[in-house]
Amino acid sequence: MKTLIVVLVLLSFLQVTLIPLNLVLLILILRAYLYPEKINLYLGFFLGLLISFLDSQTLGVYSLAYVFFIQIIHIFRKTPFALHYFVIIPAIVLILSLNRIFLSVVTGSSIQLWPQILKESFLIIPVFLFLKIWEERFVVKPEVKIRL
Amino acid sequence: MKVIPHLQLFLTLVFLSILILFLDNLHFLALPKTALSYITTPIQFGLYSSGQTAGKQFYFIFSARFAAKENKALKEQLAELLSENARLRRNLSETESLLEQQETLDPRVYNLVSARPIGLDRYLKIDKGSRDGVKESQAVIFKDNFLGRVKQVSEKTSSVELTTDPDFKLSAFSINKDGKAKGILIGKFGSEILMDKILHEEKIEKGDLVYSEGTEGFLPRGLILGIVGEVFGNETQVFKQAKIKSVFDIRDLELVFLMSD
Repeated sequence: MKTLIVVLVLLSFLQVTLIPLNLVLLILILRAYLYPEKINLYLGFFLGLLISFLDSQTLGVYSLAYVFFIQIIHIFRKTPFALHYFVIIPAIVLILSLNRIFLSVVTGSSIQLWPQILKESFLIIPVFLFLKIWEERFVVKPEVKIRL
Repeated sequence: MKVIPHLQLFLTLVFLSILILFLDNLHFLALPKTALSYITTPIQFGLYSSGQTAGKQFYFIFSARFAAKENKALKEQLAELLSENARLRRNLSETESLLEQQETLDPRVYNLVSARPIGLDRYLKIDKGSRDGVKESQAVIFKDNFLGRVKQVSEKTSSVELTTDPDFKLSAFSINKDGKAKGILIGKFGSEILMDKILHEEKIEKGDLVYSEGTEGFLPRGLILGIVGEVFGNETQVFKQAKIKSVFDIRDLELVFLMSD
């Protein structure tokens, strides 16, 4: 978990300085898809605060959006067809678009989805697979115990 | 099985977000934000500068690939330029009168505040904010070139809306030896600038400089907005359009200037 937090903080800085893509939200909603845990909401809240601050926006705007979208994923995850690839990709593209629309409305600027959404959409599958492999192979789960 | 998972935590975090949003709107969080910006601004600037350096290195690799093709094209251009040189000598006297006209634009003596770019996504982020006297709609320039206007201001940083932004609109004019063309400058897709609403009878050509009209009030007349890259429009249409190229690449600038009253 510490590694994930460090990576997400680094990505927050990269997101507001060099790479204008919602990398943090993408990772958070994909993690919420794979592991619908409470920690996702905490991460969404605190990283939202950090990004609001780094992006010179009013504090709380990103937190509100991130927590809300992560919770939507948590609820959506309970449906039986939710983990199918053909459902994940459009659902996440929709969430990323809604996030951009929400932030444009809040900041009073015009809605500009293209071409960032396309770039973010191409990242969904690689990030999803990377997160899945990382969490399954390298993160120790407390419920896994060796029986002697 | 609960229908809405972690409902209590979700509602608590939403409430906290709204509370923080409210407090920040009333500037109650200005002090911790300022304190934190002393840590984050250097990091952002460092990352941005590193990105610029890395970008320049990559640009060199990519440009080397096309160097041979470009060399051949340049040789052909050189031959054309030699023949064009003779014609240009004849036009020299006309050009001199054009230069005189450009020099008679309003004298530009303003208070300038320097700022460093610390990030670039849709807006250019600079390291000067309301504490340094930055206000919304202030013009951001480099030399005599207009780069954009301040869109959002926080304590220590500001966001600058660039001329390429889709929300950007400005009255502008271009001038050449045949005459003057007026139009509206608008940003396209965050990467291009278009000069629209140019009357067909007005003269505009590739290579003409485009200047600000100064009718908006936040910037003076005569600041350079770009250079005409391409002109398009049918004879049947009332208006024609021109594609404008920026004189400077914003990523190459180490310092920009905010124009105060």
